Amino acid sequence: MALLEIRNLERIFITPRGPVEAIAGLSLDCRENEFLCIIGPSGCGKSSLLRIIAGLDRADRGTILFWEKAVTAPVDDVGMVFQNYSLFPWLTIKRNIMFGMKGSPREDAQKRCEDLLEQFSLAGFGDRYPYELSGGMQQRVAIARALGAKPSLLLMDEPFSALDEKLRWGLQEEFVRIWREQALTIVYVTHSIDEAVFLGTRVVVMKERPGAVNEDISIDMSHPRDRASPDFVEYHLKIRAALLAACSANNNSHSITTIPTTNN
Amino acid sequence: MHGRYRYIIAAIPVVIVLGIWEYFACAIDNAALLPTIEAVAGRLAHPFRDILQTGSLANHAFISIVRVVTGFFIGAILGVVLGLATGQIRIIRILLEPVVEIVRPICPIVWVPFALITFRLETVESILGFRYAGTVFGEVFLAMLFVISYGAFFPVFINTLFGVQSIRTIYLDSAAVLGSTGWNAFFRVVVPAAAPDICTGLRVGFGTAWFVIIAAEMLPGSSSGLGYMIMYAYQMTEMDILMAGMICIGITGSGMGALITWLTGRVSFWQSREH
Repeated sequence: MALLEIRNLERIFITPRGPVEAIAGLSLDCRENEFLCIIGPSGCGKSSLLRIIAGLDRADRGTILFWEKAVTAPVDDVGMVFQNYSLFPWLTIKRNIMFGMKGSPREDAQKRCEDLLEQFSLAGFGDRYPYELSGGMQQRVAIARALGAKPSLLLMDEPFSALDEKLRWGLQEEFVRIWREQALTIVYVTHSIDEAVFLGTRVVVMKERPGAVNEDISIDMSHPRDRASPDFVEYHLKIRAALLAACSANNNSHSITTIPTTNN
Repeated sequence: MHGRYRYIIAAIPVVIVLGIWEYFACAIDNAALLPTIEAVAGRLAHPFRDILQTGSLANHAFISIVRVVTGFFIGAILGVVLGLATGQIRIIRILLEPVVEIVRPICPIVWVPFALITFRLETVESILGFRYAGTVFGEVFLAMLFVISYGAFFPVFINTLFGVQSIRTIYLDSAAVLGSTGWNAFFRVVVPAAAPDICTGLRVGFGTAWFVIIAAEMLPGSSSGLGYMIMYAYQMTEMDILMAGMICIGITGSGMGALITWLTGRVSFWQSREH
């Protein structure tokens, strides 16, 4: 049984120039413990898709089932990490992390908060405010906060894209470790092939206008992955080809010839 | 600019203004037209001395403050509550918007005659039933309260509404995926996120309330307060009392403004550092 089942999803945006089909006929399954990366050209509706899964936005047609129950509003068991600046600036780091820990006794929440701070190398920063932290640390807090609510499915919308490359690699490694330690399922939206191949157990390539699944590639490599290994380069090239195919699928003028074939 | 130089530089315009004042006071040499600094300072130096059998300067200031604070509280509470409700609930916004747009340009002072006719000389004390108790609330006329509350209301209301409407959606989205929606999100996200703007409204609203009370006290019917004292000193051509009253209004108003800024500063610390 799939943890997440998406069937014939359709999303239409009404713009001043008329309705635009952002997503059409999108179907996708996600199994437990999967690290599913969604990649596609910008404007392919991948962020919209994530928002609909999170229950923050509605679909115009089609269904989303989470453990066989239709999603119409935010579900307790589903967490989400945004691209940046999502922390509550009026709360300390501790209070941010504890925001979603409802129902748990106070001491219990304190304890889990301390554990999360430790786990994300944030020990000693619990009483600081978000503006006192660097962008990379803020994103670590955002992930810790999402995990604080104990989700079984975590949605991530380009969580590291606003960070520089060195910081991003560090966080990717850290996050892979956390994902493996905990029984987490992840749907991860990215526009970086390198990131998708480094993280995902499966990469879905979307096409644009309207957004839909164009290709579904399993990454058969163990974690942690080596960016210089032949397999890594192989997958990188394969996804790049799929992405180019997705872009030319509806013969528009967009082409992404500037994507590098390898990173370092 | 820092350290002691800052204070020296800040003192320059004060010294210049006082110098010009003293020069003309000596040149004119007529206390009924322009009193000397010493005459006015003398009045300010003895705030508990009776003035023209109307009570002391401190007493007038105290009565003005009680009136403003009482009226400000009423206006501020209404402003915050209605501002939050208007920002959150569409139907209230649709209902209130036209009323607000028409009533808001009516200056509080324009309401004074209306308020005097409506509330006559009723005071907080008289409507609460202890008519002859003789507390300071016997000096707080309902007509004044109405005008002050009205003056304080709009800045608070408008800023609160703005604060609610300009909350970044990512905060509400983050709260929603963390399981906080509805009333829970209202108290944990909407109110704290709008708090800096609410505080701005409170500061501006307090300033308006202070402006208004002085004007209201100058009108017939009042027999105390700084505004009354100034008008009475004018009729008696006691120019030194008049100017002492004006300076007292300035000092008291800015002092209370600073107090509000200090009290509200704690909830706004993050605003300038938000991304």
